Amino acid sequence: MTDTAREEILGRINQALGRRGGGEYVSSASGTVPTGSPAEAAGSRTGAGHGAEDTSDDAGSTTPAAGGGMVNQSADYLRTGTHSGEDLIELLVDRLEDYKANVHRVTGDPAATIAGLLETGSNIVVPRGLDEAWLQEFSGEISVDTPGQELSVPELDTQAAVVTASAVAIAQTGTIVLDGSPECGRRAITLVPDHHVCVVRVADIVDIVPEGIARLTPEAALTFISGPSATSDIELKRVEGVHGPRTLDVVIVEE
Amino acid sequence: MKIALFATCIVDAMYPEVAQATVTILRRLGHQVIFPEGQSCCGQMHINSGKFAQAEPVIANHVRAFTDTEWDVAVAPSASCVASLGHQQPMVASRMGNDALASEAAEVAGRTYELSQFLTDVQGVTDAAADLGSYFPHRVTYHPSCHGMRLLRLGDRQSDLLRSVEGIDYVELPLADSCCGFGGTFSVKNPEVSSAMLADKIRTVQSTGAEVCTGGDASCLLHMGGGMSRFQRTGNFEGTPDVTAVHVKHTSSNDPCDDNTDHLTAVVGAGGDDHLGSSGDSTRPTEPSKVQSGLRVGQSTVHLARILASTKEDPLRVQSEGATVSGGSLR
Amino acid sequence: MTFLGMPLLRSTHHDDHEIPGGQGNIIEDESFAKVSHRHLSNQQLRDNIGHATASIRDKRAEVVAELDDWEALREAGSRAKNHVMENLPEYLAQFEEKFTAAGGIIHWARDADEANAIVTELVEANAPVLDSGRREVIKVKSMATEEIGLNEHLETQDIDAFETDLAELIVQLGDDKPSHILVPAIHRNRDEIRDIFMDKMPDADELTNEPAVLAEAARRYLRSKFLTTKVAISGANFGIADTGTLGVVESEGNGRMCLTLPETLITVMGIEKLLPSFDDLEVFLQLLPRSSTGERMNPYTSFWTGKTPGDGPQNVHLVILDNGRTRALADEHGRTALNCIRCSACMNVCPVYERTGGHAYGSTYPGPIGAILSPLMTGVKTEENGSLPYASSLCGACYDVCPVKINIPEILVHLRNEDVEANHSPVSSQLDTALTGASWMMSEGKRMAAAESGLPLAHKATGGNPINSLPGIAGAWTSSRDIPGLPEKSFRALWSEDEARTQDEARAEEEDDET
Repeated sequence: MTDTAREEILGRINQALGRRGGGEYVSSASGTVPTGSPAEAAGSRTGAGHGAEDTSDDAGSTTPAAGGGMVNQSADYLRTGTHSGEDLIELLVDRLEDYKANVHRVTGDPAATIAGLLETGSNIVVPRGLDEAWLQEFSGEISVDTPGQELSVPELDTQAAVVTASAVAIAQTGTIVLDGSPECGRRAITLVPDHHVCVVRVADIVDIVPEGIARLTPEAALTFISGPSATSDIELKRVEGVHGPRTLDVVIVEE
Repeated sequence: MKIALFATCIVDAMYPEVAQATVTILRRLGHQVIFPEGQSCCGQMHINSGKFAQAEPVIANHVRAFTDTEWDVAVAPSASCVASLGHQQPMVASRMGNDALASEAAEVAGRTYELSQFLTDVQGVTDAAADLGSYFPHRVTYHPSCHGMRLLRLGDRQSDLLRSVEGIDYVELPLADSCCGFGGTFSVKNPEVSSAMLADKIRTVQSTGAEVCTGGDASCLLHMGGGMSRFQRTGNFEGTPDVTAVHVKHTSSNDPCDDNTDHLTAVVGAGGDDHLGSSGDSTRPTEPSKVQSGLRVGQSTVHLARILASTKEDPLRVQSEGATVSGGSLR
Repeated sequence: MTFLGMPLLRSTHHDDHEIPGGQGNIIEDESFAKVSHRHLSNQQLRDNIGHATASIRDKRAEVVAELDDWEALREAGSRAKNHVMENLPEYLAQFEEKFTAAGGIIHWARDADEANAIVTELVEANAPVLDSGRREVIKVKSMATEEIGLNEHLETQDIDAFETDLAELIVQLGDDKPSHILVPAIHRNRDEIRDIFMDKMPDADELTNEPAVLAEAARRYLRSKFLTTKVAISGANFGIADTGTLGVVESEGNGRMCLTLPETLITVMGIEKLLPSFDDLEVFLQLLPRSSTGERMNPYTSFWTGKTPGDGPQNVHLVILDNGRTRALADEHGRTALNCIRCSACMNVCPVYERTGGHAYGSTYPGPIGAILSPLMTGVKTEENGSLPYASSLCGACYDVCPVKINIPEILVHLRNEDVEANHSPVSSQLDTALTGASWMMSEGKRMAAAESGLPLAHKATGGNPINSLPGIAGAWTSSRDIPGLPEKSFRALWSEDEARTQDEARAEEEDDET
């Protein structure tokens, strides 16, 4: 049944694209206004012919472009940001705080700062690859989540906090990305505990989204985090703190 | 320049004075104006009703009329119709399999300007008082038409021209970029939604205290004037559920540098921290019709071409000066 | 919620050679004008929606203004989606290969019935029967599953689906329907939500109407479900062809809960959700949050590729859904509607939506995008979907904000033409007759002049007075608006008189010169 459905859907798509009838794909976006006419001249109707008639990117070819068909390479949106050094860090801090994350800056060893964010004597979970030095000042129970010895969901639910590192931080949007690496851990450990302490290394901060994406691969599961959990579902008013961790502490570490 | 006037059907049949004002302005700038006799309509009414087959001969007629004679540019006192020439005529002609017509239509459209577009972009007019002698000592608010804003991207062209008219008391219209609800046949296919949009638009116009509401499209002004007239006659928005979420707050400025003491802030909806208390000086009282009736009777709509054509020597008169207002339109 | 003997899903009829339209919650029962009548006079609804859309409009405008390259991003987004549609079979095959290689299992569903059956079978195989004799699944907000009426179907199969998105929860607990694709409960204000929660949450104590208190109540209500339920159902915002990755964009963490904690994850995704490569996210992760919630970035975005060893569900399924999408794709003038990334910016700026609310559109997809998407997926001949393209004043605000530049006004006009061609209402209405007459008249300037030559007479007959009441279709105009009195003469007539006078004067001058 499923195989039949697959063939039938692909057949319908081919029919819709006019491939069987030899027709060519025509985008329905209009591009009928001649360039330079006053109907266009006044304005910011951007892009030549609304871009839709742009068939330069292998339209009509039967296979996606090599390398998976990244089609945006000729676009003129920004791929690199303009911030660097202290400006870049300040931008990240500003954006994190704007979305109600708590930000702490440390030069050198973050152990004292991290310990200060955790309740003494509480129990916390950490991924197996976390730098042990970061927890040296913390006195409490540390559970290390290790393959084969994962904490169960009920166990995770009893943890006061989780401490992890991060893969990339995007300053412009105040976004931190966890990539499932040994120092970020599997997804559940940063989800169930109500308090997430996340360490960001200055070297991992980028300015804008394209720079962040360029540093990532989706081989492991990825989680993009921008502030603590929030909702805008009641009168489109943003409220922080729903199902995910309600407290997000970000520790930015400079070497 | 030799300028072909595209009067547009609604101005030709309903508002000849707007076409006359347009001719007056163009001649004041020293141009020769011709009127291609064969013209009728851009076809938008049929196109927007989905009647492409019926639109085709209308488009063909427009192209014929405007290719029969020689001219440098064409000018129309309507953003919507000019937008239709460029954005719709070639599309519909192509859809009807008439590529020759499509390219001719595109060619005509390429040389056709909306009035304010022509005045600012082609003529470089920045000061209507100085360059056109425009004089209109009245409180005016301005509704930018959707097609002017979003298809022609007129931006501030029309409002800047109006602000530079001598003597004008220009008041910003709250929620100006909201559609008035006309939408051609939308107004009769979905009359209630259209009327609800209209009622909100008129509430905001009323809140400005302007004597006239102007704009660059006679169709919107016909619609808005029609609603204003009905409200002024009957004291309510007939045919419209007596419901609105639009509140306009008046606040007075204490800033002596600010010559416009009336500040209008529109708030839409209720609830939340900025929930409006019943005590607010807002145009949305519990019973809008009763409280609003009788407010600022005498408001009317008028096309901006007539304001720009108005001079000290030959001023455009408003209702309080004895002018006729018919169906909400200033005659 | 369903009645015995009533078919659950509405289907569209089609000829054999035509690509079949979709089924489910994309079909309007009554014409838009009729349904909207019921909603227009609801003051509470108008206030709630007006307030919500006005604030989201402002938020969106602010964060969009922060990006200098916004227009270039829109252009790139539009181009990427067009490219996907052009090469859809190849990208689907590529996606399938990668997702399967990573241990995911793909199912194909031609329509809503088939998708519902597949999901039911998977739930029955993986969710235990509880003491109540029923099975339970948790769900993260998904338009595709709303569209196919999955919850209603599961209910008939003794499966309870718990919506976990706050707004979906409000809708579900209130026995209501979504009215917005981002905020399905946008038509409810905080007081109504408090009442629903107090009524339907057994353990809820006294609640205030503070959004934070209500969010906390939802957290408590759903917490144990998240931690114990074995099967979750999701939609997907993106499917990445070159890696076989799926992505869900959300705010509350309910998505992460559903995508991470259960043993089995079933995702339902339309065929059009693909992006060519992972790198394309650099565009779409900028376009979507800013257009949608007006945030620079939404709190949480999750990506997974098949199953990740040791991390999250190890039984991962994807149902790839057609349900009328190929029908939309076949329409060369309407197919860009499939580029939609479900941000809802178009409904937030729409003056019609703002006044009628989403329920008037009779579909999972309301607002401007719904007015084109629903009829494209079903055909304009289906029920009253032919009335949807007329539910717009063509003001164009939707096109301006669309992050992937779908020219909604132009597609609306195209679908009106389809409706006309389909001869939807064979009895010629007065409006049609009037337009036919107008077409004849306006096809010749002379005819127009002839028609206008009646103006002096008409002016006399009406005394030049405003026209306040007309019969028939014109009555729809005069129901709320007056019409100015007719001018005595058309401009055309005045112009010829002037011309004649000028020529006479010129001739007279010439004669004077000669003498």
